[in-house]
Amino acid sequence: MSAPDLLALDEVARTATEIEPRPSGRLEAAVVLETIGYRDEDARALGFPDVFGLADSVKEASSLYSWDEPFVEAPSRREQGLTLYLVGMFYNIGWIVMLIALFMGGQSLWAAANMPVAVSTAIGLGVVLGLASTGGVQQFAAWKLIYYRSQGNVPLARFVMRRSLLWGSVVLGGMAVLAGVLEVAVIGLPAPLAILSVAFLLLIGAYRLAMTPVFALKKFVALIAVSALALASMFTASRLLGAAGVDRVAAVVISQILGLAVLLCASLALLWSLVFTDTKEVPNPEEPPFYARRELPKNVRPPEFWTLAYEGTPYLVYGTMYFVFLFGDRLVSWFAPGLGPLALNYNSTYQIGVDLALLLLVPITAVKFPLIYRLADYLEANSRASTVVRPQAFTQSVARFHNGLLVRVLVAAGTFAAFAYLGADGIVRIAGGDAQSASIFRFALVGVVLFSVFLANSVFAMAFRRIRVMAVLLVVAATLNYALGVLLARTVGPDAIVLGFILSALFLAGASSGYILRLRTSADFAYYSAF
Amino acid sequence: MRVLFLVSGVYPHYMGGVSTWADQLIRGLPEHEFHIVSVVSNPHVEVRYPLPENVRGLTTVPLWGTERPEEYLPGSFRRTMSRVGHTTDRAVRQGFLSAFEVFFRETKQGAPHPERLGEAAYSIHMFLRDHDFLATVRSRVLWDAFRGLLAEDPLLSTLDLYEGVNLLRTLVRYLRILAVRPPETDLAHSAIASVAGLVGVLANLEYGTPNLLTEHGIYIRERLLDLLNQPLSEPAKVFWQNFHTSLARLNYHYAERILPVCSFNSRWEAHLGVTEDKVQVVPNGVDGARFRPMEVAGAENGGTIVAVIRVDRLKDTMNLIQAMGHVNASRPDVRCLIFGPASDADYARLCIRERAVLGLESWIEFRGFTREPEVAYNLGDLVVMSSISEGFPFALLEGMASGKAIVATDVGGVAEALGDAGLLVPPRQPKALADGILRLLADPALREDLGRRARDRALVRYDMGNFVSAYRGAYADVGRAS
Repeated sequence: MSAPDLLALDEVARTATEIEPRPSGRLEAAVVLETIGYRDEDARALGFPDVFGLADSVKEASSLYSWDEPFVEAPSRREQGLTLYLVGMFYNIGWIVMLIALFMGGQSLWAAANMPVAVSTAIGLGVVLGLASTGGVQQFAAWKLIYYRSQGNVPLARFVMRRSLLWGSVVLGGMAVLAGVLEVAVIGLPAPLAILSVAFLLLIGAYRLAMTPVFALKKFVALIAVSALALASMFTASRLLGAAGVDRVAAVVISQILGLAVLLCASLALLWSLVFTDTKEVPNPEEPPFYARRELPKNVRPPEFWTLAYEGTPYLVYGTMYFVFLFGDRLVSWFAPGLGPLALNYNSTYQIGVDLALLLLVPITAVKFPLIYRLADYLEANSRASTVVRPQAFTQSVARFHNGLLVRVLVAAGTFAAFAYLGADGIVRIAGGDAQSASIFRFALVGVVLFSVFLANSVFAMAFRRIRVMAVLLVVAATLNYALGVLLARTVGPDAIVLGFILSALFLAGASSGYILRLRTSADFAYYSAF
Repeated sequence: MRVLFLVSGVYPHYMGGVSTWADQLIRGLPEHEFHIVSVVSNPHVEVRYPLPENVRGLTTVPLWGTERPEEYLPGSFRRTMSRVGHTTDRAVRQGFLSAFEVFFRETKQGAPHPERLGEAAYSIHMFLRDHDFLATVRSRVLWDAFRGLLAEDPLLSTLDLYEGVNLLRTLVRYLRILAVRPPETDLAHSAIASVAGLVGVLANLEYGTPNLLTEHGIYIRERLLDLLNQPLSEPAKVFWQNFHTSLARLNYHYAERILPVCSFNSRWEAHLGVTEDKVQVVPNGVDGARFRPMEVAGAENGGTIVAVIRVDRLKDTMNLIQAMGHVNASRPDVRCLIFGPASDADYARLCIRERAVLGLESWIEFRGFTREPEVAYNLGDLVVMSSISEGFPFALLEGMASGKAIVATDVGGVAEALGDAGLLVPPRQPKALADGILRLLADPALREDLGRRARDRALVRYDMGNFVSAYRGAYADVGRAS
């Protein structure tokens, strides 16, 4: 090639590298050349048979003009630990608000102090069954709602929500009928109390279903506002009824139902506004008038629902069994003799002990949240530091993360539990419990510490989409909790039921840790298959 | 004749040039029955064209945005459960892995043996008939095999884990198409040499269905352009370049006839090994009754140029704005009307800013999308195209049929379409574009002559009837019922 030809080729290469600094093959170089206007005739004028021939030489020559762009590190998102801690706390805000109300005002939306055992049993059964029958549907709906919302696929997000509400309502309705019949025929609740129980079941179940988007989309302010509004309605009604001379038990129950109705209405309004209302796009004043936002499809064909349901079964099971497990020992304690006239009676002594111990989960969740929040970024950063054929460094980094998570949770849980253990008598007394409740409380703290290990492992597993195993563990643990509770109650005594909770929580902590330890050894595969 | 019609990202879910072509074709051939397989990126789509009666089926295949292929594929729950039950690590190792390894080795090299790639794809398809797709692609066995395949390649073995994970995840997204069971038809006609065409390859290997391929843009060329803007490492970029090259080669190999819309496209096809005897150029058609010279309100003679183009980088609207800067220096009376939406707000803002920098706010009007392009063309004295990449653009044919003199950049099939009935200028050269515009504005006789020749050329060569007849003939020649 003559000097003028070489100069001409260099000019072409220099221009081409302005578009692509490093063409990685002749086809890519040819595309770039065509883009800047080179035709076969131009290539021939430079002594090449066609553009593809010219592309070969341009690719070689371009190495003279290409350069590596300086690596610009993205600014790291260092969220304040306190902010994340508070966000973690907010996950339990509904629960916290209700407990504060109970302690401060003597009643919350689904619990009250010093109520007749039959009323407490009716309401307690309604609450337990309402939570257990909707926990799974809520988990499933949240999973798919987030999935479609993240893709901007509003029609399918609505489709999933509609179907979940439909099936959730069917389950809730079925459960209401079954509960009503069993409560009257087997437990021996008088019909009015069975109706009360079913009313609580329906109200709480419907509220949980309606709040799915609030939890899924982390609308914590809305959650606080709705809870506060419901409580304000309840306390106002309670005071007014009391002032009007209505019997205290009736006043509590009526005001609770009113509060729950307000809660449900507000939740439905939120559901409507978050999922079923078209958001009005505010035009960007800087947007050119001819800029056409893509018209989003509305008549989107929904997927076959049974395939979604099949894929979502682990979420359904996990969400349901979470409550089934947690209520296991408490329900068994209701069968203790001498509590009341029914076949099973609300056991306030046991409930106070275990319910208070479960409060420990609130600060532990908050401790866990900041770590889990950063997991996705952590995985990405560390996966970039290993090659795919030698992923050992990544595997070690995942193990380090999990170790850190467990240590943090155990230290937090252990510290909180130690303080709670030391102050058990005082804490239990505030809630109206006695020495027996305090003893149960101390034992239950051990179970809650172990359960928090399981929850930490669960959330870690979910980051790798390994919810199926966690759901199975919950099924086994719930069975253990019931079986051991019954066995211990019969052989040792009712107070020993809490040991069933501890042992089943120990199983959950041990089995889930074992599973995660195994998952950690092939973290690269776990990372790949988490889709 | 029953035709399996394969499209990707167009008809009937998206509007646009290729969709218009598909609609014209199906409506123009009412004697044939069509079953459409439409590959879309996401299920967030709706049918935007009313389907004619001769469309007997529509299978939508979203590659992303779903968990399981079965969400949108026909099949019973029992069948799916049976597939799930059959999918063990052992089954994947014995029935899937060897085909996947061939598939991967072929695609990473750009398919030097397309028939091997086709057979591997068919083996994977056969495996997926009795086994669960999701369980297969999420299996440990596949991941280990994939790592082994990367380890044997000096370039790909340097991929970091993040990119490696994304590469396999993306690859298995494409493999979803192999879970589609093609219906038995007399002909498989693919409108793109991409993943959609794989269904035609499967039909060929299953039933011996002959394949026909139309190329509007050149698939591989468009993918290469797209990859220029992807933030990928060198190994990943090379892999995807070769992967898309493989898909194109596979489509070319199995097609009995390839019908590009212009000869420009056939150069790329030839470069990828397509022999000349397989190629038949069938240009797009234009409706000469709708697009014709007409008197329209608002038209001003002597100083208006019209561009019916999207405001985007491929159409190089910036080139036109800068050309108008040159035009304005000599002819401050000339205005430019740009009809077309912008899909990229950032680029649109750049255009607005450039117009302001050049002080052309009063001379360049962005009029946005028009539902009456036939009116838009007739508002101008001449029509301009400023693109850096084109296939065989409908907008050019419509401008020609409207009897307008045209100045266009010499890209893709534009030179073929226009012939000597307009002026061609190099792309990305605003001064050259301005010179062409000024030359035509200064010479009404030349304008009139070119406009008349352009319309004649459009009616004779690119009449809608011609294009439909060409396909009728191709179907008769290639289809099994012939």
